Amino acid sequence: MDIAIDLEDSSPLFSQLVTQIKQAVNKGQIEPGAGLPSIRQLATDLEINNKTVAKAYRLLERDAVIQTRGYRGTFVHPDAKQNCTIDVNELITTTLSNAVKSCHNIGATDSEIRIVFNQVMQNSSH
Amino acid sequence: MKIQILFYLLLLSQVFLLSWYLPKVIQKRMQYIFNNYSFEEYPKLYGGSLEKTQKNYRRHVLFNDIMIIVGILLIAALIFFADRLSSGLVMMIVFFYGMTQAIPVIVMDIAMMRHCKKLRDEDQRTERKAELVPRSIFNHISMAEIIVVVFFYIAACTFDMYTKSFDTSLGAELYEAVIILTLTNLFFIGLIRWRVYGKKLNPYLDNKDNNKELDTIVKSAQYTSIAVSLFLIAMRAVNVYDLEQLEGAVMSIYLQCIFFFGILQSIKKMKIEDINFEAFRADAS
Repeated sequence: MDIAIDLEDSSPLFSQLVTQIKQAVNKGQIEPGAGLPSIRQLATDLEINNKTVAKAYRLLERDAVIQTRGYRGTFVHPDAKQNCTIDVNELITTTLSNAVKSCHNIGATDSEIRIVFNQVMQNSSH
Repeated sequence: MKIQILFYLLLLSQVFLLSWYLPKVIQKRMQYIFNNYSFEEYPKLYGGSLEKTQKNYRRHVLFNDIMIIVGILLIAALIFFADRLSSGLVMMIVFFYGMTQAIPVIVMDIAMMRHCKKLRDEDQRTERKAELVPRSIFNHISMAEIIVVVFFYIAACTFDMYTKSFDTSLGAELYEAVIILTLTNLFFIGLIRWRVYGKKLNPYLDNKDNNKELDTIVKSAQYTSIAVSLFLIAMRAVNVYDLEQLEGAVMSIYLQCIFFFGILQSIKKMKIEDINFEAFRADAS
């Protein structure tokens, strides 16, 4: 099974990788438990930076679509098929929408919400 | 006398195999490309212009024809001067003739590498493809085959040191074969690692054909490694058991084995009719 990226596409390369791997899992083109190329191998073949592939793999691992087993390599997660259907962006949108709604209900203004949001983001990154 | 006749027959076989049969196989492949994939439609298949490619083809034919004549004259000279030539000199003559026969193959390999580099440098495609399958050397060679290679390596090293009675007072001489074999095998390991795990040399070769090419490279390295080990064993045995008159024959057999198993079999495995050349079209994206 081949994966393809387009350098001229508006979406980031790591995002293209994530989308295509999820699509491949959904369509059954790669099975749960199947091995995936290493970060270096995929980066070499696609002639892109290792960090781009590493970011894609990190996101896929976060979404439990793939799992890394140390030196043994990277494999498709056993529950990858059902995990692929979970859209993390949608989840974030829903969670934040509910939080913003709650803040509006107690009388907070948009600018107050933005200031606190930025502070929370800064604190959580330290 | 029988050994001499055997040697001349082997040398004749070397002339036939390396300067007639192998070049014919290569020329047939080139003719297939000329007849089925025109320069106008498939420019990326041709290194440079059509005229240059055809000129190189004619040079290939001419060089090998000359080598056949040289080979026959060489055999005649060896028969005529048989009594005056030492076995060591005969062996060196066979070796140098074999290396000269290898020139077209070496030139072609270098030209192919240059052509692939040019294709990579000029590749303007923005779409990049990769296989979503981990690459492993075990996709191309089994553990059993590796064990066979290691066995012959150890056998050659051990036999060589055994015939020197493991005498450490010989210094570096005791380890000559070990050093040669180890360096040779390290070279093959490096070559295999580079090709299997590195970037695809020809960006237009599809994954199926690229994997076939990797199969042939790994097999070629495997057979050549075994041939080198056996050659060292044979040469050592010839020296130890005073069979110097066999040196020339052993060298010729070794060269033919390298060419037959290392190159010819690899070429035959990559059937030209099965290779997908569509990506080499002028208008291919």
